[in-house]
Amino acid sequence: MWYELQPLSVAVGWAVFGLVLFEYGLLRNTRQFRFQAYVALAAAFGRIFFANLTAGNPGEFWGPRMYSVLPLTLIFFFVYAQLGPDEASIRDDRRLHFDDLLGYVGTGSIVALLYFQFANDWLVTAWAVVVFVLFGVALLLKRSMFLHQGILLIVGTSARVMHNLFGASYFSGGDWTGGYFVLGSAVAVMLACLPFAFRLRDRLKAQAPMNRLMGAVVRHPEQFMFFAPVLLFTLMLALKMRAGMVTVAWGIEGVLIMLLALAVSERSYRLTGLTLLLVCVGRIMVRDAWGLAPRDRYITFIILGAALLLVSLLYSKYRDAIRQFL
Amino acid sequence: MKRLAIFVVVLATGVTALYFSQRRHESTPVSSNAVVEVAADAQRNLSRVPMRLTRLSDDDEVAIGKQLADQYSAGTTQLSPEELGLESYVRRVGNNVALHARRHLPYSFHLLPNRAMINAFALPGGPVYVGEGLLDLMTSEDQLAAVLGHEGEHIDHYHCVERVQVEARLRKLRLNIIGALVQIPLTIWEAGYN
Repeated sequence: MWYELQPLSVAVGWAVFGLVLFEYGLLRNTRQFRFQAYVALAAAFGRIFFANLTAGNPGEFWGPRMYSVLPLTLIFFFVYAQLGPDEASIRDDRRLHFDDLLGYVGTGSIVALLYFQFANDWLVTAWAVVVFVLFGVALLLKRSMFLHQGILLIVGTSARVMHNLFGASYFSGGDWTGGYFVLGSAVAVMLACLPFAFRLRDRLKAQAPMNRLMGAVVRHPEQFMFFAPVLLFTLMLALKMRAGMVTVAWGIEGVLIMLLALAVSERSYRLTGLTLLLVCVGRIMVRDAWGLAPRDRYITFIILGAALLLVSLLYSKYRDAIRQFL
Repeated sequence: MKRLAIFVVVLATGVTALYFSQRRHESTPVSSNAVVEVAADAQRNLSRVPMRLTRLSDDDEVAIGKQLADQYSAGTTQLSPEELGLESYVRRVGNNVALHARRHLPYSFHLLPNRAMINAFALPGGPVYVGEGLLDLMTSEDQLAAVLGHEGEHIDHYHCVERVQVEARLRKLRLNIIGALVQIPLTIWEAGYN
């Protein structure tokens, strides 16, 4: 295959061959064939980085990159799905974590495809959508591997945001789309994962504890799905907004976080909202009261005053509920 | 039965992809470009925050650029009348290109009178140098404008100053030997770029 097929087809050929080998190994209950299939599939995944991902022309959506990588992903997940926990004949395969390998390789191929397919700035939104899908799949299929992948990808997405915040070209970062819409959409998609994250947390509570550090990380996906977007959004406001309006924007964000905290009864969220409002008050006293232009100063004082009043009203109205999750 | 049907669908998808990949007439280069691109992109993204935090003022950048440019000028031999004419031409084209730069810096364009120098480079704060060897290969003014514009963009996007700004910050902190030690991994980190 290496010599006979076109460079673009080698990975696809290996994956199809691996699929056939796997099926034969499953049918004949022969471990060796299945193991060889895993090697072929892993090699196909590695190969896409040397020919398929850079194939095609710039700006082309449906091109050789897409039609040669997507079927591979389908094959990876098909084989992964066959390695379910109910199958007794493939116990050795699972013991050697071939199921995890296939799952990670499948998601890895999608993540890599999006990396090369989307424009630099939009990659964060594309990856955030993948996180959303991974959380949904983890909930639907009851397979925690997808949750792990989602958490890993949310870390990757947050790191990638550094490109949008600090490294984007001024040709794309200056206008409204580059400034707010791209990152705003990524943050919105991340926050949309919160309902999944809460349900996954409730499910994980009932399961046996795993090792301490990993357990702490995986058992609280709702913290990841809250703090990552909130941190990115706060940073975005600080860097992209006009200097005079940063405190106002943070104040409004703080109120929205407080409302979310009251809706989901989450202590860490409430403390984050309060901290953000306190930072705003500190910023007004140290900086804004003395350094802002008169109009910006009036706006900041009025909106922050209203925000603080609203929060104190909410506190007195929902005092009992707040006490419960203090 | 359901499982078999899904297997057939997946296999058919794979075979179809194989068929279309084989039929493609354009050849696909096999290289490590994708891996290198991912690694370089990750490296750049990781360095964005420290670069933003240690950003120099335009005045500091211009002063550093002038210091570096003086070193080049000291090593340059006297220009012949023909080379002086060439430099004046480079300067005229460069000044037109620099009008479109986003940052307002004192851009200056110079000729390096060396026929073996088939390259061009920029320094922080505005100086741009183009080798005589590169000029020899050019057949139109557009080509020169493209090269000078490319170098100007390096300055405009802070690429040049980022090579020296961390070192300049460390020097300001007067860390002496510790500063020099901190500089080593940063130099290695950025090795290979010019």
